[in-house]
Amino acid sequence: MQQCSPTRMELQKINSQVVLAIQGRDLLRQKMDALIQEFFLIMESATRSRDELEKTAEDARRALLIARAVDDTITLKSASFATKRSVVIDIHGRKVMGINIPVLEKKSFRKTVIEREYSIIGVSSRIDETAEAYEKELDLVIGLAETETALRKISHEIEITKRRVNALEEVVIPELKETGRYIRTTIEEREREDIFRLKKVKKILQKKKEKM
Amino acid sequence: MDRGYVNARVRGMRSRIVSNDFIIRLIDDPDIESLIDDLELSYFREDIERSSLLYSGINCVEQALRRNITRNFQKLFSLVEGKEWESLIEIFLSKWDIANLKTIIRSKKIHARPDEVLECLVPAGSLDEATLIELNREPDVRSVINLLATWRIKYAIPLTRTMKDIKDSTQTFLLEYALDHYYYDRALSLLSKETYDNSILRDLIKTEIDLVNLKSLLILARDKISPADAEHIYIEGGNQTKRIEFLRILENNLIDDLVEYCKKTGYGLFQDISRDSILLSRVSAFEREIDRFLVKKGVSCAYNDPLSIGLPLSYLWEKFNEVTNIRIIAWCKETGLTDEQVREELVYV
Repeated sequence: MQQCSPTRMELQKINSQVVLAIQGRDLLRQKMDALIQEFFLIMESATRSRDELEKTAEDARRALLIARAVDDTITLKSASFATKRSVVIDIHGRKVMGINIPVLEKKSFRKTVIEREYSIIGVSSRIDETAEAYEKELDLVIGLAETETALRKISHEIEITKRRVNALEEVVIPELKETGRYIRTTIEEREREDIFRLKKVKKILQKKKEKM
Repeated sequence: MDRGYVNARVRGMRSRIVSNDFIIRLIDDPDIESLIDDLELSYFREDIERSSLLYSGINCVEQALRRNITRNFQKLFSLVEGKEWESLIEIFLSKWDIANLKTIIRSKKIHARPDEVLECLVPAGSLDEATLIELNREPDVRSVINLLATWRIKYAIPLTRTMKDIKDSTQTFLLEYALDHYYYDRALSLLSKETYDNSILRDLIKTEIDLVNLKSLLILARDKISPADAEHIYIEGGNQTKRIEFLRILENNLIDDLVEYCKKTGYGLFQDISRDSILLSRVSAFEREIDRFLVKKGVSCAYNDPLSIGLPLSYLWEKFNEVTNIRIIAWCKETGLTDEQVREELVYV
């Protein structure tokens, strides 16, 4: 219990603090509900994307294997020289219940044969399809990176909010109520003592009056 | 030229190509190590032994196959060097020169390490290992072309001509197309004289041009490429493909036109092709059929006059097919694909 002076003013202050803490707790509960709702929505799309990514990765792996087997590793490597480049992604943010969630620029890395910058005459369509499969995988990986980061951030925020609600519910509000009760008891006790004292004084004054 | 002698040597080389039974035995091998053991029992022994000093597993097989194909092609070329068939064999082997030059050009664009590029070069054509090493040492594309011009190597002609149109490094693919066009134009001009030998190879090259154009069209139509961007991809000189039709199909982008075109130029390959098969299948499935057809056609050159260029040409295709099939089997063993999947991928047995 916090140190306080048991006065009416303090009691009023504590009472208003209790009301505020209850309001805060209710707000945080609402925030947590909204976050959980958002979490499950994103979770659903993340699960779908993860399944799709697994399938695409398997297709890409198989396409690569076929291309290596039929066209030789060196032909594949030679084609990869033509299309080697870095991946540049723009990131900005959006707010979900006050949380900053990164949004990756939705830009497709899938290219047409012309954009791959090699001659299609010497490069087999197996290599082309391998490139295409990996470009698709890259698109999905970037999409999934956004959803997974959002999931991680939201789950972290849910945890923090839950801790705050628990702290308000289990510690702050009971402590404030306890303090309020203490102040009330002390004030009541003091009032009773005052009445008793006044009665005593009255009695003494009456006795003195009778003697005179 | 003693045609009888050359053909006898080629027949000898051809007899060492592994049989279909051997290929089936390789498919039945449980893993890559037993496949290597089996290859050691064939005439690949020397190549396997040499590459096993530096590599193991699938890398050992790949290296041995590359070494084997280079060795055999160079051996055949040495048999006809300075003789009347030299230019004909050289036309076939130029494919490797073109591939090597493309690799060097691409690597210069991204500044790849020379040792990394060297692994990707196969000196099976007229450009020998020393030439390729020197070209690979050059710092950029322009220096590579300059060196080719200094050494008066024929490939400098299309590259120098196209280099003028290159505005930045993203356009180096134009050099690749220039090389492709040069290969087919040169082949057809060398074969323009009416002789029996020329007619065999010319027919093969013209068929290849038709099928390459067909494959290009399938890819370009799938990606909805405009005729303006695709114009430089079309190769002139085929038996059945026409530029105007090629561009019209891309312009209209109608699948029915494409189906019609495939049926007409597919050499009976795509008689069952339909709208659905074009929409649902991958181009690689069509390309597999094209590859098989070309290999079959190349191998069947041996059925011409026994003393003609047909036999050496047939050997080159058979060798290419043999090495490709063994590589496919080896990779499938390495990654655990089923025997059925292996058989499906084989080029031609």
